[in-house]
Amino acid sequence: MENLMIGPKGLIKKQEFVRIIIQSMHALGYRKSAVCLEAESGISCKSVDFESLESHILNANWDDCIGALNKLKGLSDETRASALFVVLKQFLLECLSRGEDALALEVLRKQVAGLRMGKEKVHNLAVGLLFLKELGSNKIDNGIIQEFRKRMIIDLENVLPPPITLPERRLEHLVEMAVSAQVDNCTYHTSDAITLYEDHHCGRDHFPRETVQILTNHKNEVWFVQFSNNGKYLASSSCDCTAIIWKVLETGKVTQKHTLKSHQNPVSFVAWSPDDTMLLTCGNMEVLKLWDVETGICKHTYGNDGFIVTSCAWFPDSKRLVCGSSDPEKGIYMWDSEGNDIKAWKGVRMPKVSDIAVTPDGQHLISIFSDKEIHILNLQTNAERVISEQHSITSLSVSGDNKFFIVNLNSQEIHMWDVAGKWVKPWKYEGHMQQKYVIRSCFGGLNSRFIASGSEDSQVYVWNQLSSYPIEILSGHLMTVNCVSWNPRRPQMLASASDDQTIRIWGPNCF
Amino acid sequence: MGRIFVVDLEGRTYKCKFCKTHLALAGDLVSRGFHSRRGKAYLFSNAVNISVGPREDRMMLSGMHTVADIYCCRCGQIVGWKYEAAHEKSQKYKEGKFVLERWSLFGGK
Repeated sequence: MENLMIGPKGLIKKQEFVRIIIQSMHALGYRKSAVCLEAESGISCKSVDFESLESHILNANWDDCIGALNKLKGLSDETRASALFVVLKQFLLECLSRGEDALALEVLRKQVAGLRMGKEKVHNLAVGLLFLKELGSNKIDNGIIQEFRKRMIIDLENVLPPPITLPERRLEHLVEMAVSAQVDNCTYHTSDAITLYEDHHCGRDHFPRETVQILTNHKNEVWFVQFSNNGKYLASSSCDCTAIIWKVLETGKVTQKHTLKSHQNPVSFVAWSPDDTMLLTCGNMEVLKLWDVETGICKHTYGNDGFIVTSCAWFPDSKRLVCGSSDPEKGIYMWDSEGNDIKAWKGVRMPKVSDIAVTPDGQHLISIFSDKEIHILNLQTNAERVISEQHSITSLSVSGDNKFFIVNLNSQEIHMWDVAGKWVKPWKYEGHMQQKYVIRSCFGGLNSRFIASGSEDSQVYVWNQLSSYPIEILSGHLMTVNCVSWNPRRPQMLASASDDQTIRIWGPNCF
Repeated sequence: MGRIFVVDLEGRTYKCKFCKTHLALAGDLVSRGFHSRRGKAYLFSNAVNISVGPREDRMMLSGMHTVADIYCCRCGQIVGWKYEAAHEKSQKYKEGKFVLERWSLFGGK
């Protein structure tokens, strides 16, 4: 019985398998079935050793209990000491409740101290016991003692290792592990539907690969495109000096809502406020403008003639915004949505800021200095971290879960770094073409699992975070694709902006 | 054509005369003694914001070389050439370096 293996690969021991099934039956509340299975299989959920320990405790045979613990095989000294500590704690409590103070003290001094559990734990125990003493020992009646004993048994169960005891909910844990692994391995993951009846696998035909719609409203190259945070709108900006706000209908079709005309120069960058009520537009080598999304009216202009803005970002409160500037004074400027100055990092030593982003939780400010340096500023602690890249960085993008950001490099690679700073080397993605132009990339899909980027060969490249080479290459545009955006609420919807003056919306085959 | 990516150099730079794009650092200047059809030219160890044309074999004052014309990435103006390969040993030091013609430059400031 002991050595019987089951499963197609012969990796699973039958006895262990049945034991965890019994444990999960108990956990689910099917006591009668559990007991029935125990009887039918002859395997019990609780090991023999543990059952004897349990009976010793419930009958207050403390010496037997301690003796049994000491005899148990396969325990490290530390674990044995922890287990003994738990038992002795209960023993001392019961001593005090019976008024046997002297005995309690003796045990505390000799046996507990001898366990080398650390001074703090022993002191805490002593204090706890004294406190109980203060309450009055006759307050602890038999019923409560039994309760404490049961709780103590559970504590003991957590301390002792398998096979004496089982980790809690072992079967559920194993099943979750298997399902998580399936999800992690799902290359074209577009839906979270998980069932135990089938291995999770998202088919390639659910992945956005086809052009679903072409938007031709712009009259010149389209340089930037981005979906709003709620996925209901799309903003695009173009060389024709305008930006357009589009509405995404329920059906997924995109229609024009407003055309924002006011810039004198091509519009190179737009940023949605986190609450999606306002849009910031950056003119190329020009000022920053704030627009109301509902009405399409320009509410503020930041900076005056001669002010050159490279990029901007919002704080999560939708009230404050930052922008990077290269003239007249290089630096980072912070304003509020009413047009007031809040703060500025500027000065002679400030280098040129080419891109800037704020993590969605507002904790970190990431900026690109002098084309090759990434500065990560923790806004709470003011701690700054610098990553130096070998090649020039053309764009920066932060993931929705605040943990990662990606930079596009001139050397035709995309590097992903972690915001927390634990990684020594970045994850690298390649396959696309980039040499002359500013090409942007973005995170997308469920859990920001995918990275999509534009490319100078007129195609859209998509990577799975785990793969260095693209999993999908989308063709359709006629010229360089400058920017890509993934709809945060529709994992199957992608938008791309190209020099061919169009924006393409991509979706799955069966759309 | 798309948003052209331009690098900015810190310090004394030589810029494209037509669009003021930074092309090279004064610190990277190797020699002032070069000549092109249009006049004086300078040899630099490094140049930025340029696009490189096709390679061709050309007979220069100093002998046969494999060179490629270089253009300002923003305005497309030809600004000089890059030495891809030298055929004589004494000219090997030029390989990988850039010659910027004086007439297309603005600067030293």
